[in-house]
Amino acid sequence: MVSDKILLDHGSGGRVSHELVERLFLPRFQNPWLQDLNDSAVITVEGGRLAFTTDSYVVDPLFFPGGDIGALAVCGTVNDLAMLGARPFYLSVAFILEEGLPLKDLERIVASMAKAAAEAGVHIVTGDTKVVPQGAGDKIFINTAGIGVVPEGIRIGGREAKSGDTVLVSGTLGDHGLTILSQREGLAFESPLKSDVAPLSGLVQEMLACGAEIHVLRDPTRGGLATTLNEIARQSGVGIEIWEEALPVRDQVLAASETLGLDPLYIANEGKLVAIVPKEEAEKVLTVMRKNKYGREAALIGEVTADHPGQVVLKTLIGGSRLLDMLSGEQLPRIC
Amino acid sequence: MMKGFGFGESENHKKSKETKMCLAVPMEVKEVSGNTAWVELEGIRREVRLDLLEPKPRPGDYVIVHAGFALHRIDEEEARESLKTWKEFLAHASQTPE
Amino acid sequence: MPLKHLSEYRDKGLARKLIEAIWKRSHKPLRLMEVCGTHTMAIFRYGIRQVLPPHIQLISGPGCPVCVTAQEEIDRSVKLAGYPGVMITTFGDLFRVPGSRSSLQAERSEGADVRPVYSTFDALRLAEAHPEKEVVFLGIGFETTAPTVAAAVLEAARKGLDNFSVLSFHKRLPPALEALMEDGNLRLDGFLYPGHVTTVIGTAAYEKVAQTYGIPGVVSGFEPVDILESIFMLVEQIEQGRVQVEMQYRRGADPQGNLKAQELMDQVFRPMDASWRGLGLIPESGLCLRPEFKAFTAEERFDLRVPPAQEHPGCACGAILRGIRTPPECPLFRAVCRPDHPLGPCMVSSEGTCAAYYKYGG
Repeated sequence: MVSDKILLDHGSGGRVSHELVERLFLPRFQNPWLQDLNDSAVITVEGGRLAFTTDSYVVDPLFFPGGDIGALAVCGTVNDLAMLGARPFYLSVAFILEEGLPLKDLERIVASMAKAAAEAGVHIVTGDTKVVPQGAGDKIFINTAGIGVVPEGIRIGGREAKSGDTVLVSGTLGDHGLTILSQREGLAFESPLKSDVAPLSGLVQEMLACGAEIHVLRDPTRGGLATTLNEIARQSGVGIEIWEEALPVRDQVLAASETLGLDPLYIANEGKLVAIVPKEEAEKVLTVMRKNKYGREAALIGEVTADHPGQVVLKTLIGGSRLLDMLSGEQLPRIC
Repeated sequence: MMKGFGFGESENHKKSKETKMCLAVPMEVKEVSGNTAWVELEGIRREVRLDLLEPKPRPGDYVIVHAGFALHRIDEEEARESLKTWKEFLAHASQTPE
Repeated sequence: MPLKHLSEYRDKGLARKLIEAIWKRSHKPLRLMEVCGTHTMAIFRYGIRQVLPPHIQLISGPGCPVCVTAQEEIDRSVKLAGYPGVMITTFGDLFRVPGSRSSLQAERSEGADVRPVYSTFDALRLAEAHPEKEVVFLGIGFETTAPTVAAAVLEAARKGLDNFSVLSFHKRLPPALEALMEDGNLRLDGFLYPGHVTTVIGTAAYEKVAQTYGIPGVVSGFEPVDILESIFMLVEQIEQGRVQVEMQYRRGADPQGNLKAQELMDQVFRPMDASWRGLGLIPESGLCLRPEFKAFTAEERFDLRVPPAQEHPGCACGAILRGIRTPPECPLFRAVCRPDHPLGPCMVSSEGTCAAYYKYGG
């Protein structure tokens, strides 16, 4: 490979394509399936039902404090599997590259993916690369699909919340989205905000292992905590009440939201989860979460009620209350 | 050639979406140079114009910022006094029967 | 202390004590009006209505600059967007307000160059960066914003820019207050005055309202403690039969206002008659550029005459802005008019009363 940029040739399937696979992807994503370079990876899974998910990643900028598009592409999909109680095992990856993308950037992204995959204990076993002419894409788009196994007896899902349950969150809110937006707004920083992008499969495994009954797990990505809780409230036909003073938000995130006129409750998180568990399990689950590096600031933030089914209400810090609606319309663009 | 959510041209979608109108937050002045100053809130820095302030603020002052301009210099002493007066009043009021 | 000058005013303990004090002191039924979009939002955001005694009613007035922009003004902006080579810049949610025939957003999707900016200076920079374009800044906002636009116009003059102009829809709040008071349908016991408009104009105009109409007022900051303090102060005045203009927001405003900002505003703008959505034509309630600044006046550069404006039939935005109706009383509210499908600016604007009721629950 003579060029330091991605060329149309890299997507052609010819020699230059092969070199990209052999010199970049194979060494990084080391595993026997990929090594075989077959059209498909043939894998065996046992021990339960298959969980299967996919997501595409178009975040801009590509690199940001705390992570990059590669880390997102692995963690996002791993987390989607983990939220159903699945152990994630295998990922596929598809790249759509814009002609002219610096090879150095691609190398950095791939290294980041490998690192995240190793931490999550997953293998990237099959992939595809396409290159589009300059202007027909925007640097890089990534799609990942993931397979995991849900053990028998696990029944976790959006419909499972019950009146009387408590609502837990694994840590501070709004970090990822505000980091991206602040980068875009060109807000200068002294001590920068960081994205929270992280693989949560380990945390979830520990939560399951402690034997507590868990009803719902969900990661509050686009639309933030508010949207996620609304989805659950509707799916389960219950009401949810959360308490403003219990919500963990970093001072910097609060300050950034004030400056940009945004609400952290509607901002994407990429390394956090919401857990809804029976009241009597809350203490146990929180203890387990706080022992994990991604759950140190886990907090109890609210409860599930039979009142106002399908709606989420926020109790404000002065004792008032207001509806916490879903994010309507204006999604913040290219956050993940 | 820019895609994105219809903001028109802007490198890396730098411009914010529709900004809240009356948004004005108190920020600390870090540096002053002529008609502009760098102000900060919890590590977030912005550059603001000082056209509307006379006399110009100094590093350490707190100003209210609106639409890229410093609008008012907060009188720390005044703010502290005011808070103190309220707290005293309320402590007394909660003891007095109606 | 983190978030200095913000967190003290979000102190839960202080808020609780203020709420208790209000309950203790307040006996008469009260109708209090705020005239600032940020106050509208803060009251909803913190659930202030729920913690007050039921006999105190908080009413939203014409405090949202986008909402009070007249339909005809929207139509003129839309016409401007249609001129080739024009780049329209503005802040606020003006883009999505439906005019008689179109909106800025719709024009943009048809290829018009319409861009959001954070500050008028961003618009100036765009004008410098794009000499081939005619950059027009749509000036909306009350006296908090007008001085910033004045400063930008002066800078444009200093730099000799020949492709920058302002289409002013700026409005002055005091004439609207008088128009509200003249409205026989509206009964009010007190005003919550906007903190940052006061930072610029001071309290003299409110003194006149207090004397002429016998209505007390308090200039309020925007944090929950500020608002509760202000309501307490209003309750005290009313229970004691006083009519005054008091300053709760002492850290953010002086009684004389910001003299420099007033000077700049006066140098560049002069009052003119203006049409407010909901309130109709109010004499001397708008601001237009003085003749010396003809070179930066959009109406001098472009023909912006438009046919008579049409608002959506059934839209109660006007009555809502006057404080005589609430959104749930509008037949279109929720049924047809929603944030993703707004029929009037009160639902479009992030500070609009209808948007607030929809989002936070009435």
